[in-house]
Amino acid sequence: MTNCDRFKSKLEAYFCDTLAEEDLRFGQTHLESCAECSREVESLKSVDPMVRAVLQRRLMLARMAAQANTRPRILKLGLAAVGLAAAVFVLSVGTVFLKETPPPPVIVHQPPTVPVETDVTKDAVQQEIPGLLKPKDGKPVEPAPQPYLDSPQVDGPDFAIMDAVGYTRTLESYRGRVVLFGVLSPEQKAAVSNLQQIYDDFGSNPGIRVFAVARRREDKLNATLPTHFNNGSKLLGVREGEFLLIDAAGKTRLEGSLTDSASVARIRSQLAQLGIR
Amino acid sequence: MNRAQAPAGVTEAEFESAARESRSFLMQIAVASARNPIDAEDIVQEALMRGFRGIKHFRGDCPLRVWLSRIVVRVAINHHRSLSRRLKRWVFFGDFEIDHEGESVEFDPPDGSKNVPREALMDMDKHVGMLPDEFRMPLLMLAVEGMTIPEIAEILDIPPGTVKSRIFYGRKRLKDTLESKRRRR
Repeated sequence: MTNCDRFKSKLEAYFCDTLAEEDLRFGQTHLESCAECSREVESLKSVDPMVRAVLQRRLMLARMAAQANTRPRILKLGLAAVGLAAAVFVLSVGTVFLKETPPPPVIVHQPPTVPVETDVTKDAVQQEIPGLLKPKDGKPVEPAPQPYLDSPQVDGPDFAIMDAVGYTRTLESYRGRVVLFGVLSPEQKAAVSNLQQIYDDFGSNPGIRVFAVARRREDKLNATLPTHFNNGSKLLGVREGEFLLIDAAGKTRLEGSLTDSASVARIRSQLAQLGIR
Repeated sequence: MNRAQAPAGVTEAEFESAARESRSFLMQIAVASARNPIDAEDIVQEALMRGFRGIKHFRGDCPLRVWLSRIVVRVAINHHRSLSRRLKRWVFFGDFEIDHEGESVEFDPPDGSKNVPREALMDMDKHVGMLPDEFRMPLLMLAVEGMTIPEIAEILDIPPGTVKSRIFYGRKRLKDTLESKRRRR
């Protein structure tokens, strides 16, 4: 079995976050070296912004429908009756016409695609509002990148990050485990390598989660430790270059800067106290 | 909240304020669960009514909005089947035609997704609509800002692992459809 086959057989587990430590490490190294597999993963992830846009569009339609629904019902029923009568009339006249004369070249402009779904109204609504989603300027538009919520928002949650496969995580997701994370950027090489050291020593222990949080999605830390992205949260007030150590009960045990080796020693001794080795 | 002391005792006023607060959230859940977004408002309305009537069954073991979201999902599943709704949609359709003609409605999603070209978006909407409920719902719920897997699992009443795996297969199907379309061109 080649490496690619091995990775592909574990692809679902990779996205479901159920890979064993060994497989996860294998997957990460494989993704770095294999263009095909990393393209596969990227294209799976690229579905997300599209789905988000679909949800936004549907929300907007829902709101428009809600607004329209507030008007008196009797009027709407009347409109519907008139519409129905008109449709029946057009249909009957149309069939009579068709029998006698050949159809004129192009009268009705129909969309080229045949909707598979028999949901008539939905398609009708889509045709009703042409130009709704057109970009305002005439320039061609690029496909959407990930939405950026990397900087903390004022009313954002205390802690919410987006992991490598697009799931939002809160502290609740780590309940019952010791958590050590550092907020890092690629410029802080010393801090990255300090956290990487701790990850190398303790990362395989299931009782602890060590990860880095990057502020920008395009950041590549050049390290094997898992990197997540801030998702509009305040990150519990941890600033760039700093770390936070939280115990299994969710209590903060240690915080400080990651740039010096003294704090690495402090983290190690604290972890030993928590029974992580 | 005093939910701990009186688990079943949610008063009318408490229900009302909770319903008002979580309304936009419920709307998003409804849009994510409904096949047709224009039903969402009706679904939320009906779910709130049912929730209000059945509030004595609320055991307080989860936040009220999660409990209401579960009702929303159930109503959404049943909604599609009822004929009266379909008729109502036609009514709405007649309404829509008159009212929004010539009116320019700005579509400005809050995140970066406004850059998705319109054609691609329509296409994607169609493909999302063709996914079976079990894949479409978790996938769209994941798109609700800030939703986590455990929350989706609680609302859909399935284990978190199942949610993740359904999201994975939903993504995979959409990706495969898009890729095969690209190849055909």
